[in-house]
Amino acid sequence: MKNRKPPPEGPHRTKLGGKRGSTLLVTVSTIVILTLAMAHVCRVVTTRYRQLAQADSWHQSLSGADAGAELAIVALRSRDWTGWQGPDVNGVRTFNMPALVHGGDGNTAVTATVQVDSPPSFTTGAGVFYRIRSKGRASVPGGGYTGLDKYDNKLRHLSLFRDRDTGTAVAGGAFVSRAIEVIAKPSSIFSRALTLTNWLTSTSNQSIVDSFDSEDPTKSTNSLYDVTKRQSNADISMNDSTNANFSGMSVYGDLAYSGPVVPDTQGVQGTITTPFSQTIPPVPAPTWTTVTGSFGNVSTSTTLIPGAVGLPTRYKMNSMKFTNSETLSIAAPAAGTRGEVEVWVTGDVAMAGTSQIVVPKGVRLTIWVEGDIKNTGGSFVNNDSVASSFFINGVTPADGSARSFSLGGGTGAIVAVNAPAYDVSITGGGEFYGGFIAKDVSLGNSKTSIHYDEALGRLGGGPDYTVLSFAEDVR
Amino acid sequence: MTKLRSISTRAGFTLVESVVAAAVGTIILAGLALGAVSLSRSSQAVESFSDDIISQSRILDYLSRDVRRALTVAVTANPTKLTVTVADQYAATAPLRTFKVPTVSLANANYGNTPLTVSYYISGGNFVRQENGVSSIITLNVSDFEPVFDTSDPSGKTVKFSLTFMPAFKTKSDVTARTGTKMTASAKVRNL
Repeated sequence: MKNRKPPPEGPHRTKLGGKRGSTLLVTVSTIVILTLAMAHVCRVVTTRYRQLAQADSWHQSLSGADAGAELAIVALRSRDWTGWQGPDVNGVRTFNMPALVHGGDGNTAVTATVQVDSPPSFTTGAGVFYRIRSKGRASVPGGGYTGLDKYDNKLRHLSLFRDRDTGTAVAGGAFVSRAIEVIAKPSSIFSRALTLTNWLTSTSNQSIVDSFDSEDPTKSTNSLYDVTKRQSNADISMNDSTNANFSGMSVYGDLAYSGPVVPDTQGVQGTITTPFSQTIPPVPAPTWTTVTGSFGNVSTSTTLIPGAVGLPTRYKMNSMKFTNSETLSIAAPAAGTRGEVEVWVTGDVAMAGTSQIVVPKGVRLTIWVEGDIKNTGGSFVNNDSVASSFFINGVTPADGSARSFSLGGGTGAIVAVNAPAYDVSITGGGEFYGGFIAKDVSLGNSKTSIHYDEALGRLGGGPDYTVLSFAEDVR
Repeated sequence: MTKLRSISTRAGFTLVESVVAAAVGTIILAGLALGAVSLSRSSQAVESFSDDIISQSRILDYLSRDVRRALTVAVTANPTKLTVTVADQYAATAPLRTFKVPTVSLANANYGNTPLTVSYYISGGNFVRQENGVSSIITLNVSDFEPVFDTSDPSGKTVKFSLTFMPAFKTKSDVTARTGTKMTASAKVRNL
């Protein structure tokens, strides 16, 4: 027992402990290395995810701003400010666009605040211009962290902790906003040959719709249509093609429509696109409180005196019914000057026999009609030779009742017709130089030619509005 | 016996065993080292590639933003340069970022007679945005910049631009690698 070797201890135990420690050290080191590697990967992935998410939010905020500006344009065109606040003491209308919510990763909601006003200098001889300021806003997912790329941050101007516009602390999380300014100009709604609430039907394949430009000598002769200078900008739009039929008629322009496929469009020279929708502003009745002359039912020849341009004389009639050779004429303006006349017919206009409405050279005539218009043989004589001198406005009935505008006799006219609530029918053919805005247009068996005057599309004064300029706040 | 047993328990490897073990160990270590280096390079390449793609997107965003609000657009060669003029819409007085009230007509809205000139071009592999003569680098690694008017738009208002970069660890002669990074976008000038 005395010689028995004692159990190993001391150095031997220390040696065993060192081996265990090495194993632990290796394990810990491996875990640390793997953790660091994983942390690096997470950092790299997270940083790039943030950058992409922030870029996506930046794009969506512009989409929101654009959507807000479009809503303002629609309100200007339709004169419908339902849902808008104001105008306030500064004449500013404001619309807070409800959030456009979508699912998915990253940002899920876009909003916009839109303001519309018209500074005093925006009221011009060409009409009233409007300023639209729209700010789109999208939340920035991933918290208040930048993407760690200074070039990215310089472009996107995120509001991570403070609102970059107001300087106040952000509420509801980080976001990005983009502000745009759009100037809307008053413009003619005669931007096409035919702008229709519903459809166009033609029963003749001989009918033609083409264009010319009365202000461009290379596209007209002495301001008149010249077939050798025919243009192909006679576009047609239909918001509803339910009963449309082109019967192979020739259209030197594009066709845009919504609804069923339009039959027999092989004669359309331009492109055909669908769907299509355009808000066509209703035509309100005049609101004159004073008139130059007031008539009851006009059934005999009558002469009106023109006023100066911008200061038209104004005449009001209950109706105008010519059955034989009566004439509504306008006195010529003083030599070297132009004149302007406005007529408001609260009832029907009917012309038969050889009756006439005559616009002399140098005068612009605008007629508002609240009832039906029927011309079975009379003539619209426009001696000023351009459609922008003779407007017939069919007033949109407040009760939504039907209105008709029928043209027979095949005489044609140089005229611009704005009657979006009227069923227009042309039964006797004829040559028309100008443009039509109507509920629907029906062309009969005889050849009808509609030569759209492109100069109508450049008219200011409304009632339509289009974008004049676009600017973005990039600071 | 005790001594012999003790020697036996402490028996080592033969020289051959040691050499083989060393060789195998070296091969394994070399493989691990190569794998680690390869993994590291691959990681760097992927990281760099994703950075460059994000940078490309940023450049396209810059270009789209400025083309969209441009008054005029011009593309010139040697060096390839896209130059736009934009309205100087900011009022000179505080508060900052307040727009002027433009003069309006049916033809245009005029924020002033001195529009700003903004150019984009490559300089020394960097992509530069220059505004009224003041240059700033907006990203670092760009190989090709091709701005053109989109001929499919008859209005002539659409500008297309494409960019390429050279991925990390690729040589300049590797054209396929570079052209494979091509990114294209287009923007329509809203003011023309």
